[in-house]
Amino acid sequence: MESKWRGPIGASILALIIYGVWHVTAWNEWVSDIILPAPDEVAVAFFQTLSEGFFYSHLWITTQEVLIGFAIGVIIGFGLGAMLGSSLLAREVAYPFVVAFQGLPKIVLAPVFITAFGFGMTSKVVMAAVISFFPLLVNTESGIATVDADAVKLMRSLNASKRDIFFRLALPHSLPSIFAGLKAALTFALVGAIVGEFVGAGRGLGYLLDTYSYQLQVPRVWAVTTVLALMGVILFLAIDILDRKIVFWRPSARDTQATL
Amino acid sequence: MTKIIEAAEVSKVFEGARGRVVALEDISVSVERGEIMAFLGPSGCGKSTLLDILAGLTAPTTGSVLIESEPPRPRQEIGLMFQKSLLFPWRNVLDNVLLPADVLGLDKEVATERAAELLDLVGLGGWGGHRPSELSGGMQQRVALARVLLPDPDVLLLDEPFGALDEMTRESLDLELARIARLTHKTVIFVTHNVYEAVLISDKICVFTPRPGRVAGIVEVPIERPRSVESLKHDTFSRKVQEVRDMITTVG
Repeated sequence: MESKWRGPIGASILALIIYGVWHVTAWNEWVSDIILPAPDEVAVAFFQTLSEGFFYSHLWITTQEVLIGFAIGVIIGFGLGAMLGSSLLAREVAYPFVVAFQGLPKIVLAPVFITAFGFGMTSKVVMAAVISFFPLLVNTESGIATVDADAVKLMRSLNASKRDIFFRLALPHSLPSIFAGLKAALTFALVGAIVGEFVGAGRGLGYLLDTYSYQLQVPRVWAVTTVLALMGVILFLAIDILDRKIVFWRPSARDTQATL
Repeated sequence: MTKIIEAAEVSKVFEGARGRVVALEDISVSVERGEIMAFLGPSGCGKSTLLDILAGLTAPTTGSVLIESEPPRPRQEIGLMFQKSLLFPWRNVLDNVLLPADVLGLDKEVATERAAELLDLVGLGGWGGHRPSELSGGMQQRVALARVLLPDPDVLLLDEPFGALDEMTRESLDLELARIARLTHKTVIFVTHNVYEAVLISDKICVFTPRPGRVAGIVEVPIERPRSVESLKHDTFSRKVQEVRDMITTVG
């Protein structure tokens, strides 16, 4: 078999198996249909949902919350990460707080943000930003902190300014790590927005999910879940494409990963 | 010949978490223009610290250093090279050689022309468009050599530049470095812990003793240039290797 096709063909077979198991499980009612309806019921609900106009207003709300929250989180996370990575003093001062914040399950803040910023989009944007800035902070910081000390010496021997060292050495060196952070941050932004909507909202896919769940419209619940999964995948792929374009020098996984 | 580097009674003390460490003690050494000098000694003898001081990256605790009659500071006239090639993977070979031009703000057109010439000089003509990862370790060090030569420094400070290479590659690069240094009239300080390499390449060898780093003595190597692998068979070569070894064992 042509090795290029091995992965995709295997994945398709696995998808068929999952579908088969799901179908048989639902058919025999091994699991109650208010938990797991049959795949074709979910498919019908999925296309029904997509055909209804009000669905798109909910989709648009959530998309905005995720993207704006993500953008804010990324800017803050990158800024703080660059600061902590560049300054030993900043690192020493901020470290206890970073650890404390890292340990906190940040979704517990959702009720606070709802109280502070209301039931509208703002509280979800804040939630998405707060939960997503952290991976970027950590990855930017660690990327910069792992710059080779001799490379810094080389730059300093050329009388390079701090700015030069940052933009010509530290930043490009950190890009692979920063992109890993972006991918994690994106998933977190999605979680943040949806959790915010669960806790208190009148619109958005999280609200829709919550409502359908309450009404026991289980196929619809799974249909919205599928939409959220697709949204996550599309955004992830967008970042992955950027990653490959920008970090063109990263060796591909195929070249470097060992097979046990 | 005139003195280009003069270090007088230099010492360096680090105040660390585990107390005071004397890295260098009372180092006095001078280098003449156009000379190739090896700093030879075991690891931990402070020779890299001395290189940092000469490069102006760290200040001596006591003593004075003059390079071209000025206290050392990072500048175009002094070039630094390391055991690791430190090529940036996001730059191709030519752009890596051009790094000093970007940082120092040199004329890009002139620099690009010069970079191509230097790649020819180090035997990598035509490799400018390649990625560093496509080159062998020896070739990567050749690129690093071209990079350090780009701003046309007077002094090259090389910290075990070929220490990570296999012996055969190292030998040929040693000889090539000596050839290029003579051709371009560079003063070279070359840190190594390899006695053969030191004798093969140098006009003078400054032998260091460890903890604290002191100068055990200076050995002159009167083997004529250009040197080649044939020089290794020279009587003087083995005599000098022996002399340096004796100096290390007596003091150590």
